Amino acid sequence: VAKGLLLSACLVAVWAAAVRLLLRPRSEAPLNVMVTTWVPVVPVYVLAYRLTPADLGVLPAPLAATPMPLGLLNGVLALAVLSLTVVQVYYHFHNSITLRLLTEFARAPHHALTPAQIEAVCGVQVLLDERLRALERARLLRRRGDRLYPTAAGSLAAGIARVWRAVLRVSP
Amino acid sequence: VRVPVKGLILAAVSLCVLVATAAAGLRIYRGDREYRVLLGALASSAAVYAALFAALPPDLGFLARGAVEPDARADFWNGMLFLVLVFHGIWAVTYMVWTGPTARVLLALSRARRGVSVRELWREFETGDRASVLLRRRLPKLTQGGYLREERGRYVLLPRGRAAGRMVTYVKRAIGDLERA
Repeated sequence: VAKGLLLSACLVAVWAAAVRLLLRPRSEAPLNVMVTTWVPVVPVYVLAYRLTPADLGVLPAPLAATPMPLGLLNGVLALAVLSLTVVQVYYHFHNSITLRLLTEFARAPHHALTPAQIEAVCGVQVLLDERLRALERARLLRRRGDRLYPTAAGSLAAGIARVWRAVLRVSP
Repeated sequence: VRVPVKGLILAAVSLCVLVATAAAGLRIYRGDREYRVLLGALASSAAVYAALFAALPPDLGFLARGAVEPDARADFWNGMLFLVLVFHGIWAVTYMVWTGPTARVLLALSRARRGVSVRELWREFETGDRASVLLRRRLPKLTQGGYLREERGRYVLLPRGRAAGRMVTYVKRAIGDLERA
């Protein structure tokens, strides 16, 4: 499995670097960029797996003895899980309110903010506006007049959130 | 499609243990450091994984020869890697649906049959005190964690918070989330 893991890790690193180059500051649709650039990664991985030697020129013999279909499939799985991890880490830094608070404090004069200043940079109005725009771009909600409605995908996401909350019995 | 290797199957079993342990732990736990329950669940599932891996044969009694990884150590760490990566996903999804405003908005929208106005959504996040529901939980945690101090009507970043703030600012710039100064 080592060959598939190494190849998928390298490809995910290259993909992450490409995404970083394509994302502009405060990019409007980072997920679209990630998905569009990720699609060709899978055939490139399969091709790389088929064309490279079993030991990649560096692996010790015991690690190069994995049956080909097994190593290939394991690598595809690793590719998916590693890419999802990269996406989640990106969104954690992008969306986390706690991390945003720390950044705003770090940039504030004397590293201090009053509650009113905190509300101005991380308050409900600012965050809600951002999230609503992001949800609309992701086609999870739609506007009709001054009212907001979930799309089918939005209702599905809400259903998953509801089930997960019930499983772990967590509520804000 | 061949059956995956022993490590992957045992990692999947251990992930079920992880979810069950976390669900039970969060029902019992009464403190405000719930992340400890999640980390405890990870530790117990990793222990279950290691014990099962040591106790069971390489083919688990039913795997075809082509589905068995010849190197047991590679098999073990491959499964452990998937266990940890999927745990990270579970962690991220849990906090997103639990404390994140996005899930809260989607849940409010899905509850309302005739749509929701932005003003009605704001009410979802308002509390009686001065901090909104989004900050009510986070500011005390940052204060208790030694990142912030409340003094004379304002919050001040402490050295620990400055170090964290620098690191977060660096990463946010690296991923293109912040313009360079």
